[in-house]
Amino acid sequence: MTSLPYLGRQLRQRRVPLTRWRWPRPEHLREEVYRRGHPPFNPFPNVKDVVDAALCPLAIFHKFYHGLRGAGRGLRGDEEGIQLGQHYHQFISYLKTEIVRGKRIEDAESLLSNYCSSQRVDVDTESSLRTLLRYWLRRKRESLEQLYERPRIFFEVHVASINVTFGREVRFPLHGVIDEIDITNRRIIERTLRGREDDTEPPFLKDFQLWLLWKIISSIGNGLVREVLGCENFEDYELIVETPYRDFLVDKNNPLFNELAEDAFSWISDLATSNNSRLAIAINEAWQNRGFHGRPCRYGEEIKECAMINNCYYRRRRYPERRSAFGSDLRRLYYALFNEQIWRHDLMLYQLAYMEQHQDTTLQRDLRELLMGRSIFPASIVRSIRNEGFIVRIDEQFRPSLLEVIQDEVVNFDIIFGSFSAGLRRRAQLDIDNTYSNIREGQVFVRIEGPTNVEDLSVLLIRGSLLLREEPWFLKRLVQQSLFNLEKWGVDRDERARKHVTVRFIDTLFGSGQFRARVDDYEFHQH
Amino acid sequence: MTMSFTNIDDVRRRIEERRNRLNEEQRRAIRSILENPLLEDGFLLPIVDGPPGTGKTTVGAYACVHGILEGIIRGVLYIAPTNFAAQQAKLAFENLGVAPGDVVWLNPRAREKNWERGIVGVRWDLSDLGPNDIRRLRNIPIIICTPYMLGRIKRGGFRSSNTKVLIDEFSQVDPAIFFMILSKTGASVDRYVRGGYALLGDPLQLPVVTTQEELMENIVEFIRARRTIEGGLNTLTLQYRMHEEICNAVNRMRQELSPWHDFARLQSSSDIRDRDLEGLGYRYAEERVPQGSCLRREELREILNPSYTYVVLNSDRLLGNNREERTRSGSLHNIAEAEVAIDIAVAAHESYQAQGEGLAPTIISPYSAQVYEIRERLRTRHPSYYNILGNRVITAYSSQGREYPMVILSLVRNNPWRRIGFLEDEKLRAQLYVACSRAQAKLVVLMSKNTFGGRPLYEELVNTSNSQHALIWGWD
Repeated sequence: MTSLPYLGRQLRQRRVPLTRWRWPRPEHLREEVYRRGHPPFNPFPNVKDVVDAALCPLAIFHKFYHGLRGAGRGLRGDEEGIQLGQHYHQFISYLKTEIVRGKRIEDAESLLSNYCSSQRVDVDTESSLRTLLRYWLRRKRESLEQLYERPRIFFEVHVASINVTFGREVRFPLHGVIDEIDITNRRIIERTLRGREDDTEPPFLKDFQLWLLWKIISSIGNGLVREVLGCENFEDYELIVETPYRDFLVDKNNPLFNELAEDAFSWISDLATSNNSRLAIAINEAWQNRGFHGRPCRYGEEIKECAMINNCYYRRRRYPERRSAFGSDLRRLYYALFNEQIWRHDLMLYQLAYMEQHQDTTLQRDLRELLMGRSIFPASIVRSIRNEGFIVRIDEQFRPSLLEVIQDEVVNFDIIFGSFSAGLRRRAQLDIDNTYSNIREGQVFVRIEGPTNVEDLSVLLIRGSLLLREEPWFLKRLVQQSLFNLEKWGVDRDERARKHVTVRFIDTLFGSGQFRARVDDYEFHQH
Repeated sequence: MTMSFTNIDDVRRRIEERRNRLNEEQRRAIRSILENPLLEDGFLLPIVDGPPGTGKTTVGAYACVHGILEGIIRGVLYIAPTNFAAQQAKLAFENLGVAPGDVVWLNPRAREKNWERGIVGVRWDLSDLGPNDIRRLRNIPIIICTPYMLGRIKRGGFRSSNTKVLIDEFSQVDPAIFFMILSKTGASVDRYVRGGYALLGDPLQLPVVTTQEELMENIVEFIRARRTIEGGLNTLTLQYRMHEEICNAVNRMRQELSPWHDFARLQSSSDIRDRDLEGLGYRYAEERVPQGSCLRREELREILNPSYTYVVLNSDRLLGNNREERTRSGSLHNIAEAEVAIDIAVAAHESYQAQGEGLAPTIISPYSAQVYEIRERLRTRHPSYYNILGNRVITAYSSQGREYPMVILSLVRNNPWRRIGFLEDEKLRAQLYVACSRAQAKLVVLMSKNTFGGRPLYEELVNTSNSQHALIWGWD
């Protein structure tokens, strides 16, 4: 049974619900307007953004402007913890796929060894994975045996919708990745490492996260889902949060979920506003409302599930002395970097979602015309090379465009099996030099990470990668993180500050003293 | 342990040789780079404003090598905005005699590890490096990388505190990237860069493509908007690349592009002032000029005449489909300009020979669709030239930092509405400046008078005052 830990307590001051979402106008979607300045539309949030905004408005503020991801802690709450979580997800899907293909359950541990060596997993992470796997296997043997009957299961299914509603008529955009959809047993699973053996409730907000994913898939037009997953009605699906130790059934009708979602979307919209003075007010309000509903966050009494503590509360050092002038310049850069991400990344998500889901068929057609051969390349699977990838054939009319796009540089792609609205999205590497590839004939060998059982699905190659960490839109987040680190950083000791290059640079640039770029009266030969 | 070069005697000898060839501006820039950044009453951030062909990368490399040899600095972190620029910088160090293994280009392609060639790919968490690799990287005198690799360098502690950080091509370094560099290299109490920073670049060259005004500004513009830089920049004005006629055109563009009052006019070194293709060692045989598919032999002979080092062709006069067309990818191409560019490139290859090898001109365009169109036409209609000329067709962005004996520039835009898109953007019009300044001895520009005429920057291209080395074709 699901329940939220704050039931019966006083809620955080609720935001006034939005009467409408700021959608991009058709001219933005058709790219008839030059992309410049503040985007006049809201971001296209993913499920984790909404969960973060529900957890604390400051979490989403830090995410948007300081590039800090994942307020909800991983097992270790750090990069290594995130890595462990990713490996755990990937391995469970790999294991299940291999069992469907005929491997024995008893081989699980050796499959883990294979997996760890192929993915170059370090010894500590492998050891943690092995422990977690044992817990998981102990109670999953029976369900794993059912896999021999070849149920229809999909892993890491990307879902996106522009028609998600929360009890009212206002529509919202939302996308996310479902860990597992078991069509045969009619259940949707959210897998997590969080939680302990003696938990009686699902890990904090994980049930809400799963419910949001279910809301997305339930709001997508049936045809789009049927084509990919072979089923269309998700109303009676069970929602299960699965920790290594227990499974929790989520109550889909929990009325608090609607409230949490509406509140989170209000914060997202307010903190992404294009009006600078209103943004300043919204940020101030986020500070005042920090914490979860009924669980205000204070220094010394933080929310233990939140990983942002060091970013909200940190010691102000004495130097650089011109920190405030420096900080105000940095703020402009944070905003610019955030806006850049929305133009580059979120607008593309809107374009893809509108192309498949919008009721205006003319707009759908225009977007298809605009994007096909420019950002997306339809293809079909010629055959799969087991454990490696696929040979795909690009539709003939788009081959010159693909050649044009990849002529000079290595362009990253995502590959989607099915559709953008409901499909299996994987990181793809186009191996043009592979012997299977003949790019002029439109045939490309594509290496895929992650499990696949998709031979009968259509394929879309999406340029610029929506998932990849290395893409320019994602790099902007890394820049934001570095700027924030620099803003927080400083020294206290006078002598140290006087000799510190970074302190002196900031204090000279934003304060007083000579700023020079050259020396004239210096004897070169002294060196 | 003192960090030094494996072939220290060779490097010392080459540095001594090179020292005598440095001009006074270069020497002053080198002095500034090696100076202590902390002044009594301020801060020294050496900024070297090096227009095309003035040897700014060489100046940076020389300063670093000299500083290490003399023990002024312990190591160097050379940051280039792109991997191509990083490779160019590595070559500059190797040209000073530094062994390839002593100057490591650190990149994210983890499978690529060639310590002898100094090309090392590293995973983000350094999990692919053993303890010996880590020690090795800590003792490499010079590491070159892009800004996004700095997290790995910090994680591994690959640079000591007495490191000099050089940031190349600062026109592509916006303030956000600069402060990220500062954060990754300087925001630490103990392990921070004491050697200071230096910026190399040409503020008029291409910026990062972005939707945000704040990020279009490069770091030098950012600084100048806030502080007066006492004594000005280290400006290099003596160029060693372009023929005088091309240099004049570049100077006219620089004046038009410069947002500051202290525009510095480029001077040509006496060695190259009159250096045309024959001066570069190519022998011209007029009789070998073939008939083109779009241009007649006589026209090609006139264009390729060695006495004309600078040629502008009005593409309105070209026969065939001389209008721009948008391709599916969203980019533009111009078939007539593509044909003419190929005609000229093929004729130049046939008629200019050096040691039995034909000249391979470089065709540059701001539009990737035009690059593709020209490559495809070469491949399908002139397959025998495709292997020679195919990879010599590039975009203006990828041409930055390179130089070529002969450049053919196709501007593509030709429409009745006189729209030139990003080519009139205040920053991105620098594509013209970058593309033209790649040429050493011959530059041919294909441009529509009806579309570009009347715009100050583009008018400067034809403002040659009847120079004997310039041919302005079809402009009347």
